[in-house]
Amino acid sequence: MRKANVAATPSHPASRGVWIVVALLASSGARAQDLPTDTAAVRHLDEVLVTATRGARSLGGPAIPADVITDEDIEARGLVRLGDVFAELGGYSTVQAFGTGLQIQGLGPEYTLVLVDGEPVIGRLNGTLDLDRLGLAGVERVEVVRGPFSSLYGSDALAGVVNLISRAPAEPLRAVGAVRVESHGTTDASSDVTAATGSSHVGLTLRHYRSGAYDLDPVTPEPTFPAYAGAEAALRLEVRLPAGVQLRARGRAGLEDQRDGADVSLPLGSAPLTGQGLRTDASLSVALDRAMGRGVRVGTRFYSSRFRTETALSSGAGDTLVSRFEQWYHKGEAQVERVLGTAHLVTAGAGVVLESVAADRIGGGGRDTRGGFVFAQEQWRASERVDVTVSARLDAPGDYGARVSPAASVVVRPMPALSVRGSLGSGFKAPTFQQRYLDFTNAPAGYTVIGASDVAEVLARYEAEGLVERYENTVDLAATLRPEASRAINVGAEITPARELALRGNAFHNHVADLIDIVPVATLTNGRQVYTYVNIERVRTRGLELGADWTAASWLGVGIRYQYLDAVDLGVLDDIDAGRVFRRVDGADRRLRRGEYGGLFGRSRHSASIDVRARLPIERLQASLRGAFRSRYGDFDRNGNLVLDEASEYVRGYVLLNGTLSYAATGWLALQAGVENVLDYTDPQRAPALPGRRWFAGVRVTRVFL
Amino acid sequence: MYRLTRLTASVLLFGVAGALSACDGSGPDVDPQPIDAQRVSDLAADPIVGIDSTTGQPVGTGRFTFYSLRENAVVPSSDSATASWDIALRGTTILVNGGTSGPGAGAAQVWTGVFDDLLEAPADGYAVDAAAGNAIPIGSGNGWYNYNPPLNLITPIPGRVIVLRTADGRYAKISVLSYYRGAPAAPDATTHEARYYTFDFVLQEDGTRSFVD
Repeated sequence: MRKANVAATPSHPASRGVWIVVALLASSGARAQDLPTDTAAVRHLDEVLVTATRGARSLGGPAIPADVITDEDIEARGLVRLGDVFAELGGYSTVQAFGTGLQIQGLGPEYTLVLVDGEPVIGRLNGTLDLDRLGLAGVERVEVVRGPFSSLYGSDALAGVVNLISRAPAEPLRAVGAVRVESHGTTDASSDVTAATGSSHVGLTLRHYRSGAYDLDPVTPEPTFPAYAGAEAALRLEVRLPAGVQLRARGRAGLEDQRDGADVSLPLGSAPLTGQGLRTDASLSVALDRAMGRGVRVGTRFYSSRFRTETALSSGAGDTLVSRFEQWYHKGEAQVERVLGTAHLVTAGAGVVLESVAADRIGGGGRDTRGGFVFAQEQWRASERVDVTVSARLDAPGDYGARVSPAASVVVRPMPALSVRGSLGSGFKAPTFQQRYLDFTNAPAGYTVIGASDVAEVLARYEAEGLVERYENTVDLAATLRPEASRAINVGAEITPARELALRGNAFHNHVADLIDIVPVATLTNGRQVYTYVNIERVRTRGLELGADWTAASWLGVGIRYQYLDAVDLGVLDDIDAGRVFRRVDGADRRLRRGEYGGLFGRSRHSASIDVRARLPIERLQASLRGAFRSRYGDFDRNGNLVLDEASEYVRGYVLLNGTLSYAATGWLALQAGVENVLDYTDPQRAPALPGRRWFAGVRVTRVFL
Repeated sequence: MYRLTRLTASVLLFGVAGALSACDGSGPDVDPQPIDAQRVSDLAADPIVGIDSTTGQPVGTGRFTFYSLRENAVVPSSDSATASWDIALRGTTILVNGGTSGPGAGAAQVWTGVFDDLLEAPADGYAVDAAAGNAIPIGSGNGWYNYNPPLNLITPIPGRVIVLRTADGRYAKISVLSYYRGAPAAPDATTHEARYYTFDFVLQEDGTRSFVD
């Protein structure tokens, strides 16, 4: 059963089962819960975070807001998919739209980069990368850094970066097997086998899962959650070659098959459509690293990934509509790290990226692009208490503007128990293939959408044929579509007044500009409107994130998170200030006031979570209880002014409670059972993706051979 | 007695004078009042009668509903070629009696602002229906309504007022309140019947552009 603490989803749940790359609409968000704590001691981030410095060794503590979720946390809560992690983590939201997406600091799933062992996961559908594709078996920890990181990682690292780090085994041989059953016919079986000798190791992770369909609203023909089945396999290898060269190779493959009823309006009396979607993805990465002596390390990396979806809609009568989407990503890069003196660690790298896409709705059936990048990072230990990190990256893609992304961060430790940090970052998100190359016509509805790279040529062709009636507004057809870009500042502090208590706070401000949206550009003589993508929107998200981790007793750990979020569309604020936005109250129109504007859809102003982990008096029994709250959030405009202002446009806020009980029966056998959404909260009308109460039970066997 | 009579007389005198001056109606303390709007409810504009078997789209009969603001009544479609109607409605399309739509002097523009605050129709900026486009533009966001695809909902845009010249050249303003039968406060495309207009209008019969008494 897919876990989802969810928000504004399209009210056609069948859209999950039909992965067709179609335009429009931003994502919306939902809420999450809290980071658990090790009951033994408060965890410090210094020693484990690698994502913030792109894998380079870190001289000091992190200067950016970050979270680390360890495999112990994951096991104690009974989580199996990456989406589950964020559904329970305070300050993050999961969004159900074309899969489970992640919203960080109020910015949608398309602005978060997801990495597995430092390599990007590809395959976004309408911007959302489905986090449920990634299982947690064999994962040692999940690192999340918040804020823009395009200075290190390039495109899509605007809101934050998530990095799943595989377990580097230490034992000669270790095998783990887990089987789990959940309500609604969901099962999940996984195994992770690792072997290590000296400085070489190999690991294999396998996972298979399936789920039956689940219906919250019997009125609609299709189920709320379709039936699906999938499998995942990952092989990782690390070998010490002669001449001090370290070889790291990773291969992953995944597939998922979904069966769904489709919600399409049909002539009365005709049989309902059934849909089937198949998603496959595979990736391979090979990295070679060598320590050259005198503090220099050199590495090269090659990465290839393929993502493919195929959906078929069939009527009972034998008609089938098939839609395919395939995406390839190849990257080669080299990186050098050098320690200078005692206080400087410089990293520099460069790479080439080749991407291609093949899809029905892409003009010409497919496209290739190639581009390159160069980046540099300097970590400077200015003094015993001060660390400064500066980085910048130049991305030179083939067919949209080049981009420089700088970033800087400082962390100051005036006292051992206090660290204060600030970071300035810039991020960008490249226009998608769809935004550049889409060629899609919906004849009955009377519109055509052409990607920005092709629209000038297509319209010139229409005009030569005498098909253009008139041009709309002031769209500059010759302008290249720019990447969406952000600047952000994060300022925070962490205080550890006692060994058992850590307090964190972070204030953030993201300013995102050049957001791409669809606008009409021409009307044809047959009445059809032509749309294209332009950089038009500006968005601002800002807020405060607070957290506390407290080891109340040797057997009891508590974590609390809270986020205040203010996310607005700056263009709408300008329109409101200029008196261009109205609302209708009891049939009479009046101008909307700033205070009445609710901000972006799908964002809750307040969200909080609490997480309690306890070792119960009964031996070897551990309990974990998580509660999450999110305040009301808007889903759609209902009063015609296209902005969130009226009470009817909000979905009620709610509280979700999850509990897990773990029992270590013997040294090698562990049992686990739990309940999600204990309070059975549902809102089928306004939050259709929120499942009711679900239970799960699982068995886990761990054998270690020393 | 004499005093009382005089007092009574002066009271009567002042009272009558006061009453007379009040009856005059043009005293400096009387403000011009906007003309009260008239409401038209549930005007059918080609409601859905079935589903097109080839496209699967809902369809009506394809006929416009013709309306006269002066008479505040529906005009039979047999009179479509005359100047007896002011607006014609079919689905979300609203035509005015002029240009390619009819023989009248009708023209229209969409004005942004508060309906009640529009006390005088603009002097220019009117368009007539033409092959290149209607006076009241079609398409979501262009004219009087927004279409919400996930909810399949048509909502009038608050702050959009249709200002028009009627078939005989008089000025009127229209505010569309609802596109659904019964003008529900929270319309739902799955339960409420579409293509039933509820709108408020003000017609200045004296031929001036003023919407004030």
